This record gives sequence, structure tokens and C-alpha cells, in this order.
Amino acid sequence: MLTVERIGKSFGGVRALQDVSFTVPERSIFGIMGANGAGKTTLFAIIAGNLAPSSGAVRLGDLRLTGLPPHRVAAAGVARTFQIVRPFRGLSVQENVETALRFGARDRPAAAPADAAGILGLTGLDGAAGRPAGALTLAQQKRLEVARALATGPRLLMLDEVMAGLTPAEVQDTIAMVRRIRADMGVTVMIIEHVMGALMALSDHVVVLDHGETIAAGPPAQVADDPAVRSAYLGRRH
Amino acid sequence: MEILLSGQLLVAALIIGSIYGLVALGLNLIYGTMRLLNIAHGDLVMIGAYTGYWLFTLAAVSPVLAMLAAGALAGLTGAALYFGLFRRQLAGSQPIERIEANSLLIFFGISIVIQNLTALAFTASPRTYQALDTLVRIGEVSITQSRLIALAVCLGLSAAIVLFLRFSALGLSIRALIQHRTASRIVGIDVDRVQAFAFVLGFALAGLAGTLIGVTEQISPFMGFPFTIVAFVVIVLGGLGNLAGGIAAGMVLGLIETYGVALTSANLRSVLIYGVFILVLVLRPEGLLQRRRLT
Amino acid sequence: MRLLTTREAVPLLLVAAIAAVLPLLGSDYYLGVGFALFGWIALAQSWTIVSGLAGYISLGHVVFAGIGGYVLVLTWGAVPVWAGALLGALAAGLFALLVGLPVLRVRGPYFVILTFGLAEFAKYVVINIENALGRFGRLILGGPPLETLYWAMAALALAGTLAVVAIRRRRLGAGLVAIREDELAAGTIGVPTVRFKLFAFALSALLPGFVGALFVLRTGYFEPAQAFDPVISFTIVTMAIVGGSADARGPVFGTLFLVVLSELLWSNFPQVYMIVLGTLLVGFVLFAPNGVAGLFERRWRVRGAPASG
Repeated sequence: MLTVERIGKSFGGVRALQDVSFTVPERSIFGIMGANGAGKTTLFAIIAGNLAPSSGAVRLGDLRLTGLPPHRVAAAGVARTFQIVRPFRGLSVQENVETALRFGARDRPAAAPADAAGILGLTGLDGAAGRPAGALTLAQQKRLEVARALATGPRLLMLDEVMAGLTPAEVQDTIAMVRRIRADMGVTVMIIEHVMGALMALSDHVVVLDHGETIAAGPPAQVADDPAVRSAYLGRRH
Repeated sequence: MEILLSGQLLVAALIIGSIYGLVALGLNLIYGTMRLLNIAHGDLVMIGAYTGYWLFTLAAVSPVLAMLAAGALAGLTGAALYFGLFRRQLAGSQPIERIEANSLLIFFGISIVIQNLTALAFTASPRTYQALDTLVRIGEVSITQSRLIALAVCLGLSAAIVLFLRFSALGLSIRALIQHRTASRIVGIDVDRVQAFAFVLGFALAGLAGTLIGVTEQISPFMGFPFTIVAFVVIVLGGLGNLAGGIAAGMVLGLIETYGVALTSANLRSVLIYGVFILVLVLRPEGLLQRRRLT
Repeated sequence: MRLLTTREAVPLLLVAAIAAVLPLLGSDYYLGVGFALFGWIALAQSWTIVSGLAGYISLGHVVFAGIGGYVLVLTWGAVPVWAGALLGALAAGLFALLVGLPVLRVRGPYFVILTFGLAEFAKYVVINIENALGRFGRLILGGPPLETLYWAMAALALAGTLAVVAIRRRRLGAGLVAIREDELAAGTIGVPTVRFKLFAFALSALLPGFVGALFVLRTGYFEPAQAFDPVISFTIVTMAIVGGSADARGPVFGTLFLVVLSELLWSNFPQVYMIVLGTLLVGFVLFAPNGVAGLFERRWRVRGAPASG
């Protein structure tokens, strides 16, 4: 459903992304791996319209996303979370979600929850609905990122390190939550994660970035065995 | 047209430019190190101008000495405000954007208080005084002694401060803070002490420059704001935190203003300065918003 | 449509009640005080749309009032009085639309200081135009009587209060608040940030244009340095911040408080009044960022809000 075509991005001479291409199949869970600075978050920002690419294009079905402002991308059904959380701090958790419900995608999938209660239940925030978002723990703020993104009624949900800093039990909860989002709502999920095990367990497809370039792509098992990945990523880290 | 080619006009532009450079240097120090946009900066200039006026009128103190007193007075005001109001703001856990916006409103309030206290004490009527007004001839150019002194002091002081920032330990700490606040703390810089110093120095420079300005310009409680604006234009043109660039930019603005006014009319001076200010901000907001956020 | 909540009803009823009561006191003095009070309420509510809701703090809102006043005197005699005032409002809105696109790209403290510079720029431009025309102040004779102006201004205050209440309920209000909280995140969840900001900016200019025209009609005099006086911008900001700028209550509370203070001090001790205003602004920003409205709420709430941070 989402096609990334030869995306390149440089910041004042520094190449953050180079010639990145892949296709995300409908209703898949699509993992993006790579060390810090590999360009993963930049890629999300480009897809969401927060950043303009230096070259290349992104398409959602037949719609060209590149060049659209972020709110039009959201209207087309693309939502993202922020790795460094950006809740509406002065608003309550409930208001955060309600705001997103009033905006977001033009055509909401029929299975998307249409009320704040449902979304807060799904993301385990029902107990914190009335609290100011700025007063939540980091783990809760990461959930709020997911809740707010879901509330926009997306067809494609991009999750940027929503498990970083969570306890193993919380990671298990989050994995279950992501699976439920896909199964119950039919949402396609792209996910950046440093928790390797979680990513491998969740994803149907994985792309590995290294210094802004794609060095491997395919099903998780195949990618994990790839020599280039082992030397560039796993080898350095383990 | 030949007036445009005269040395007289060029020297006038240089004098104004050097004053702008010094005033802006003070604002740049405070903005650079703390991200506090001191909208009351020009009011320190005003305080400096009044200090010079009263010391001369009441005690016949030369502006050259009075400017030291003005610097001290403005510096003390800075210390009182830093320790009384801003230290707590800066140490708080609020997001930086909130601190910036709040500080701006606080400075706005302070500016109004300073202006009206002055008006209450000395009335709102404009004043001028004649000091150091002997004409000095250099070649075909003749200028008053006071303006020559202003030129020398502003250039000398600006250069001294740039050197100080480049070579002294404290100066290096200030530059480190300008470049990277968080990292400065990690490498063991006493951020609070450096901030206090930059704050006081920034205020003192404005006060000192104010005395020099007061000798040649009309003094009134409400004279300050244009200088805040001018200083702001200069630091945007010269680059945020780039103190040497700011001095050069001060000169550029001095030239624009002097020749702009010479080509049109003195009435248009404010239109010109505010016009440049708006253009600079609208066309180069990225020059101001250097802290780029990636996500 | 939902019924009004307390925080919506209180400011609306307060404005309506004051408007109804003041004329009963039977003196021009109270009509004059009411005229000023309603003028400030309309200005502060308008300011709240762009600065309180969207968080784009304007220190130059006087520019819209100045434009409104100027258009009124320029059209004086050529069109009926009320048409002139309306044109003033439209001109202010149009001006906001034109400058809004470039100006609203500038964020945070730079936007704040830019608005101040813009208002001063407009002031000096008008001063120069008037000088070039050889006009040093314009007299307006035969404007509407005070009582008419009073009711017109009361209507503007009510309209401004109603506007803030209505905007807060709508998608526009939710989007503006999201922009205030985090503009990037707002865009990403689908808030059309550029359009909303521009719309809010233009809306927040309309009523001040009208108010500025009425101010000129009341004094019978237009002088640019006075019509574009930055002190007016400062007063608007202080009234809204002292009252609490998150909803329609703030401007009403803050204005009531400060207009009383102004009546006590302004005519005899204008500088003392300004010093008090400045001190209040500093004090409220530091110690009560949610203003008088926030202080009331804190008293009545059982549990304190958790410290944010």
C-alpha cells in the first residue's frame, strides 16, 4: 500500500538517507532496523510530511504523499508517533485523544474506534484519562503517542520506538497491542524498534538501514541471517 | 547627490554603527547564553543616558566617567533581576519554549515599569545637554568630540569583549554556553555563575552605551525601544551568538540607516529601521531558529 | 447544541448584566466607564483567539485598532458612520490576512517581538502619510452620541466573548489549542496549521478594527501616535494574562479588575497605573500563569492538579 521510491535526504551536506526504496504490503507489520543515526526517524518524518525529501517520492496507493503538508498526509490515513514524545502537555489524556479524533483521516476505516474510551482502553490508558499529559510517566506518554495516532483513524500507523525504555512485561503488552491493532482494525503498521526480539517477533517484513542506505530487506528470519546485516549491525552491537 | 559621497556621512554611519554594535553585543550575550529575549534592553540604554545627563548637569561629571557609573548601575539592575527573577525561571523544569515566552512577557512588564518609574521621577519631557561638543577636524570631516569618543569607546570595548570571549576561561565558558547549554553543564561549567556574569555584563554594556547615546540624542523615558529593535536586527543579521559578526552587522545597519535617511528624509528613520527589522525576521526566520529539531 | 457550561455562561452573563445595569445609574460617567470596559473586553477576547488559544502571543494588537480608527477618519463624510466603522473592521481583518502568511511562519519569541515591530512600523507609516498630507491630527465632529456608542461597544464585547466561547467548542478551537501545545504534533494528527493560524489571526483582527473606530468616534479625534500607541497592546496583554487567557472568562475578569484600577489611577497618576500594570504582568506570569480564573478554579478544586513537568 505504501511505496517508498528512491528517497534521499541530506542535511547541509550530510547524507541522512540515500536511495531508499521499499513497498509496505497492505495489513502487514513492517519493521525498520538500524543503528542510531541510520536514518529511520528521518524516513518516518519524510513519509508523514514533516520533512521534505531531497529526492525521491512516497506514494500511498495511487496518491503521491511527497509535497503534501502533514495534515493532508494525515487526512490520507497516515499517522505516526514521535520517538521523543510530543504530547499536548497542557491537555488531559482524554483531551489529547479527543483532539486527534476531530482531525486525522478523511475516511476512517469502519473498524477504527470512534470514541476516546475505546482507544484509551486499547492502549491501557483508561485509568489516566483525566490526568494532564505532561504529568504521565514516560511509559504512559509512549502509549499516549500510540493512542493519539490511532485516534486519527489511520490506514497506516508508524510507530517510532514505542517500546524503548519499557520493562519486559510492558514490552509484551505492547507487542500484544500492536497485533490487536492490526487484527481488529486492519491497520498496516510500520515499526522502528531497538528491542530486536520484539521487532523480529512482530514483523512480517524487515528493512535494515545503515548510514542511510538499505542493506537488507525481507522476512525477519532471512534478514537476521544476512551477512551484511550481521557485520554492519548485529556484529557491531553484540 | 555629492553629500552621499562625503566622508562626513560615512563617519556618521560608522559612529552609529559602532554604537549599534555595542548595544547589540549586550543583547546577544544574554540571548545567546540564556535564550532570554530582553525586550527591556533599550531601557537600560535609557537609564545610561539619564545617568550621564544627571551626573553632568548636577555635578559636571564628564560623560567619559559617567558611562562607567551608568555601566555599574545597569549592571546592578541586571544582577537584581537575574537573582531576583530569572535564575529561578531558568532553573525550573519547564520546557524551553515556555521559559522563552514567559521571560519575554516578564521583560515586557519590566520595561513598562522602568519607563514609567523614570517618567515619574524625571517627567516624560525630552531632554538634551551639551557636553564634549568641541568640533574636531580630521581632513575634510568635522565631528564633535563626543561622537569621536563614542566611536573609539564602542569599537574598543567591542573588540575587547570579543577578545575576552576568545581567550579568557570565563569567556570560553560563555561561548560554550552559547553553543550548547546541556553539554556545558556536563563538562563541568558552572552554568549559573556564567549566566549571572553574562546577564550583568549584557546589562552593563547597554547602560554604558546609553551614556554615549545620551550625549548626542534626545533623552526621554521612552527612548529605549528602538534600540531594542535595532539590537535585535543586528544580532539576526550577524548571526545568533556570533558576537564578532554582530559588530559587523551593527556597521551594516548604521550604513543602511544613515544613507537611507540621507536619500529620503529624517522622518522615515523609524519606518526604515522597523522595515528592516520586519524583513529580516520574515525572510530569515531560520537564521534565528538555529536549534533545528529533527523529529 | 449543548447547553452552556459554567465557564461559558459566566462571562457572557457578566457582560450582559453589566451592559444592562450601567445605563440605569443615569450618568454619562458610568456610560463612559462602560464604553471603555467593553472596548477592552472586546480587544482582550480578540487577543485570546490568536494568543490565548493558539499561543501566538501578539504584542502588537493595537495595530488593528489603529487601522480601524484610521479607516474611519479616512472615510468620514464619504460613507455613513457605521459603514465606516465596518470598513475599519474589514480593513483590519484584511491586513491580518495579508501579513499573516509571512508573519505566522515566525514562531515563539520571534513572533512576539515581530508583532510589536509590525505595529510600530504601521504607526510610523501612518504618521508619515499624515505628515505628507499636511495633516496633524484629524477632528471628527458630529459622531453618534455616547449612549449609542455605549450600546455598540457592549455589543462588540458580547460578540467577542461569544466568539471565544464558540471557537473553543468547534474544531477550530481544538486545532488552535493543539497548535499552542505542539505545532508539529498538531500538523501530524491532521490539524491544518497554516490555515487555522491565519484564520484565527484574521478573526482576532476584526473586532479590534471596529473597537478602534469607536474609540475615535468617542474622542472625536484621530492622531496616529495615539491610535497606534503600544501601551494599548501592552494593556490588552496584561488584562488577558491577569484574567487568564485559556477561555472566555479571563478577558472579562482581567478587564473588570483593571478598569476599576484604571478609574482610580489613570487620570491622576497615569505612570503609577502603568507601573502597577507592569508589576501585575510580571507577577501573574511568574506566580499565577492561569490568571484570576485559574486562581478561582484552584480554590474550588478538591485535589490540586499534579505538577507538570
